[in-house]
Amino acid sequence: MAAKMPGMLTRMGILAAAFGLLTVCGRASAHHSYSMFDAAKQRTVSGTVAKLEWMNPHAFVWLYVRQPNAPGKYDLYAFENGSVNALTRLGWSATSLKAGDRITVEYWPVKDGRMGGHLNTATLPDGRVLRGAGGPEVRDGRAPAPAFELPKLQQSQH
Amino acid sequence: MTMNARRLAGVAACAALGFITIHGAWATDPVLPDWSGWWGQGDAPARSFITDPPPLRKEKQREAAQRQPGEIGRGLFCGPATFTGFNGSFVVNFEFLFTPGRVTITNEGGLIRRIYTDGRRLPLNAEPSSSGTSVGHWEGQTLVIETIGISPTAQLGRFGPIGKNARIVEHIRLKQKDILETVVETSAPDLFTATDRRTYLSGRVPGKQAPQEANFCSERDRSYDAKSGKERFDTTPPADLPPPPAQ
Repeated sequence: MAAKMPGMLTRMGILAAAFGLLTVCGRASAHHSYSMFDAAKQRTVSGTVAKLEWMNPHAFVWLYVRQPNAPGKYDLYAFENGSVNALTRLGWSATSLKAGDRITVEYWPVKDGRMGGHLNTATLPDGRVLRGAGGPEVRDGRAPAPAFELPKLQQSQH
Repeated sequence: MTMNARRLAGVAACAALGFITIHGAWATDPVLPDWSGWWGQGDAPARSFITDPPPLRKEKQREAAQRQPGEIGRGLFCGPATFTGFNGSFVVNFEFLFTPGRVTITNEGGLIRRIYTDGRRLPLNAEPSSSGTSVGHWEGQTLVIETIGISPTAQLGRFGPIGKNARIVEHIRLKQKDILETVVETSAPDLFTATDRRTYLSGRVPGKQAPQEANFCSERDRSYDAKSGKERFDTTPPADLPPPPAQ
């Protein structure tokens, strides 16, 4: 049926699908503004997973990070993430991170200087990268990786 | 006629009446398209408002400008799922359920819309509700839905409450096998100066069988303080955290 669409309409459809592909992203900005996070900064920290709080509206990742100048001492970092729904679409599950896992987190730091922020990516020991959902990047109109892609509209047969 | 015969005749009459009722309801529906499965729109509708701003009233423009995208107005947190033109709200997946004379649309955020396609008309005065009051009809393979009676406090993104006497008309059709096109026309006199018309696409989510509940109203929302109405970043550690790694 769609193959019979006029070429112009089809091209518009492809554009629309491309737009949709760019914009169909994870948990977006509907829950809160993310203004407490610094969108202009990205930080990276490595540590040991204390817990993945698998809950709505935002999952949280808790990470023990070794204090560089105090052997045996750890800081506890907190990272906000997207909703269970959005994260599931991005490949997360309740068991994606387990206590004791060593991971590296890229994040937007919280502006008030506390340890943590909004998770952008979590890199697992085997190199796999889990993308977070939501965050100030979304607020600023730049979409993170799409949660799923719209099927591509068929090309016109004309 | 004996008692048993009268009973038998009564049962037969009831069965015939039921058949006519059911058949009558189906009769108003055409051969229905395959809209099975779950549909995702992501935040495409929300972004369409960025690229194509709606005809907001001036005072609403000022109010919207003062809000951050995604900001929740005080008192709206933990409210019920509402319909303001987008079946997936702004982020969740949705599904269609076809029954005789009715289409039901649900989404993962808890929205339930009952759209009667049995020929009935909209009431003159619909009681305000979260999903509104809807009737629909089929124009070929396009489902046309008209909705009124939407709760005036239902939030249309960061533009604020949709206001009184909102009326939404949707034209939904399969653009291709796994792509659904929705044209939504929103008349909301308290919010817009003219009817807002936009088109968005949804994709069938491959392999998805069950909803992923997206109840944003958790008892422990670390990002929002329902009492103060303010955003927060709550770093109170969970009570069951394991101890730090041993040396």
